[in-house]
Amino acid sequence: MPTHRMMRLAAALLAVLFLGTLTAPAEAASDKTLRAVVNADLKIIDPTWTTAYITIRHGYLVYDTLFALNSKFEPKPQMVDTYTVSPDGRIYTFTLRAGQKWHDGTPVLASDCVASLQRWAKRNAMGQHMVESMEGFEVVDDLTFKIKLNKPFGLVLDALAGAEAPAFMMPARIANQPIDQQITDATGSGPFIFKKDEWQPGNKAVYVRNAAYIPRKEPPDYLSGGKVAKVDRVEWLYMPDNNTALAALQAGEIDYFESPPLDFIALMKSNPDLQVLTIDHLGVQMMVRPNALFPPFDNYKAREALLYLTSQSDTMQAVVGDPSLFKEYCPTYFMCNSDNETAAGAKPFAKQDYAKAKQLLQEAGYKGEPLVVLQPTDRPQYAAATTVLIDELRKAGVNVDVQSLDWSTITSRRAKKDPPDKGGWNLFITSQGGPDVASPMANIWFNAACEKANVGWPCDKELVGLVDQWAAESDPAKRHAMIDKIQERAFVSVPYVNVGQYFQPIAFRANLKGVLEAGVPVYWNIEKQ
Amino acid sequence: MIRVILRKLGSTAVVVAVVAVIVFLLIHISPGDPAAIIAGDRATSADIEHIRQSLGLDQPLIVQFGLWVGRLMHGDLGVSLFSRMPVATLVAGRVEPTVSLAIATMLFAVSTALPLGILAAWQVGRWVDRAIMVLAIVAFSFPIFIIGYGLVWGFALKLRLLPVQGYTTLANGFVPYLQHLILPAVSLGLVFMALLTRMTRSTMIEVLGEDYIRTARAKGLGQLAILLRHALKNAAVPIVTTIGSGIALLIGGVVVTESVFSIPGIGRLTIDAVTQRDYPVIQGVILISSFAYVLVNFVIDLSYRLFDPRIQG
Repeated sequence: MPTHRMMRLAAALLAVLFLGTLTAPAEAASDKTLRAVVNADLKIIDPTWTTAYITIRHGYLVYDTLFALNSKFEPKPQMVDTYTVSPDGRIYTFTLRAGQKWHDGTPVLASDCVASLQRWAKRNAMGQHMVESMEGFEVVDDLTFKIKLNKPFGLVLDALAGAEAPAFMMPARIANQPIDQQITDATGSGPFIFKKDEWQPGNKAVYVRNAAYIPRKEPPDYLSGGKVAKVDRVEWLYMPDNNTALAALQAGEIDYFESPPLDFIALMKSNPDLQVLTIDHLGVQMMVRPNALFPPFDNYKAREALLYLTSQSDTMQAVVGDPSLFKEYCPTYFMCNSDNETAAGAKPFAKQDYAKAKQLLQEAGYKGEPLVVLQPTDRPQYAAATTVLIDELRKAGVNVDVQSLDWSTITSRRAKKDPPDKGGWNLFITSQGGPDVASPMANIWFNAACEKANVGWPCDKELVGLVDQWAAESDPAKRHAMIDKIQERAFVSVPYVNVGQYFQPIAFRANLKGVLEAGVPVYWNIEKQ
Repeated sequence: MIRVILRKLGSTAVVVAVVAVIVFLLIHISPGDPAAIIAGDRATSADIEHIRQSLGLDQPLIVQFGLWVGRLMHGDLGVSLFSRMPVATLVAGRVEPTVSLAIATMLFAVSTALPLGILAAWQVGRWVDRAIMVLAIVAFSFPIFIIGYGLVWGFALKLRLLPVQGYTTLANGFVPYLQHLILPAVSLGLVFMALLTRMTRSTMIEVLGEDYIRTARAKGLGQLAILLRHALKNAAVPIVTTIGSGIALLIGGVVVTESVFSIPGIGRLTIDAVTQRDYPVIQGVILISSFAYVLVNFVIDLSYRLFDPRIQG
């Protein structure tokens, strides 16, 4: 083809392309669209199928709960209008608010709620405990149902409201699916509707305002009160690179950054266009988990040695850095700032003591064998805490075998009951959110039920018995008094070691108003100005 | 020619089949348990075991392989262990951003590298040549993510000319589409541009020393005609080979670029699937990617015949 004809063709092509740009619709960010970078990718939309926090947060958008916690951590009615408890504390009768509808337009019925509770209780730790104390459910009419207990269980309302794993309500046609089948229909009755057709795992999840939602009249208070959606659309964006998310927030391409790295906080605070807010005043507890199946940690003295050799402030300094974002020292298993905070039994361990740790390890029969510590390579905060732990162990004379692995491999390896030198492990670091940790029953790492306990399998029937007694007590004041005994026992058998409590703030553009300090990121009450 | 194409297609099928078997074995023998990841950090061992059973991950490896191959024979790549969405749907949603990025990158790299390489060869030994070579070395030496962050800082945060991140489909208009591609394409394309500039320069220098070029000059042909019509066409085969092998370079670079610029493409899908041990997605993506890669090389093989009719078979 002659050169001048090719040039003419190219010119024509360019002209068409630019003509296209004149007529093409511009991508305009609506003022009613809230764009948020979330801390993980939403891959699973069934809150009973996984314990992943991102799925629970998705649940808060699309589902509603029977009860919700207020800022004093008291369960308050949410979908429930009124409720009564029989004088013997064995029968709870709930009446739902009238006029509530599922996203498909059908009415919310008591039978739906019972089906949802049955599904939830098959997987949720608190739900399982509740069901073990139950005679059954009874649907009285379209809006009323009963929970009948056959033995005392004082945490019924707390279990239903649990901040990190509440009982989300869904239509019976969905809740009745077998528990081994993942729910793929996210129909709920919450303030937002999930747009499944726009969901792109690994990139984006979209929610639109549920116009049919009837919020409670009370003002929002933590997770309770009126859930008024003030934006038309919420877009969750998953950005694997935090630097990109920060730049996007600075440039105004996103409105809300759910979990900014803690070393970004100072920079963000200095930017007048941004606001940094701690929405969770309980924070996160970081913990060292010993494997109680194998020496030396099958001996409680070796686990006690961990209490002496670890330092919360050193760990938090490495993990967080900014002293305003962590507790220098928190003596309780049950989160400082919570109702269950207590220093009972903690005094001997307030000061790091390597000599005592060495002595206890020797008494436990430790003779310098290599101890396998799992160090994650792809979770910076866990990696930093593990580095401190390794240093502390070595200072206490422990022969440490560091195994650096990605988190996915650690989650499968830690589930193995093989001896440490044959593919098992001795120690790893993990963390858990405050609301769960604050309850000795909801905190799965505190459960010392041997084979039934979580990985690490601590075994202390006395501790389990004390927790059961605590859960059976319905009087909050009496329950509070029992916490000291539980903690004193925990410092003897040491299911895990608390190595610090820190706070993860969120960041958002200054034109966002109404961001709630609800413990978890929620998207109702927020408006763009 | 048809026989050549059929033979090449046959060998392509063999390569893809070998890749399929290797990928399946590699990901299943590597440590990690998708059931534990699905269950989450607060799940009990019993929860994890329930999930493992319900997903069929407790089956022997040979059974899982047989099921996968059986589905593959029916054109079914399976469903994600996590989202339960078909792998084909997940991949289809990621093709446009990656292909757009790859095309934009190639356009940027080729359209800058060829003139620079030709110019450097023409001006060999002079300051222009040296300046171009310094530029090529600098572009080749910087990691993609450093270039990416630098471009974002300059063009998105300071000058506010281009967006920081994201991808917008062509259906939303050409300007936003292009705006979202410029920075990623430049940061990904610089390395490739440097490689191609050096290759074009050295090949052109070699060709420009040939007797027929001297003859063309003696006949009084213009410099532009000599460079483009005679020299470049004869230097094309190694340059096209470099472009083909550059696609492999792109596949590696796309992963980083898509992460830095938050582009929802195949690279990010692959990395996410690998870190989560989402076996069907890993298998599907690698199978499709290897097929695409073999196909590109196949097309490049065929293109040699266009540039040099002496190449047969």
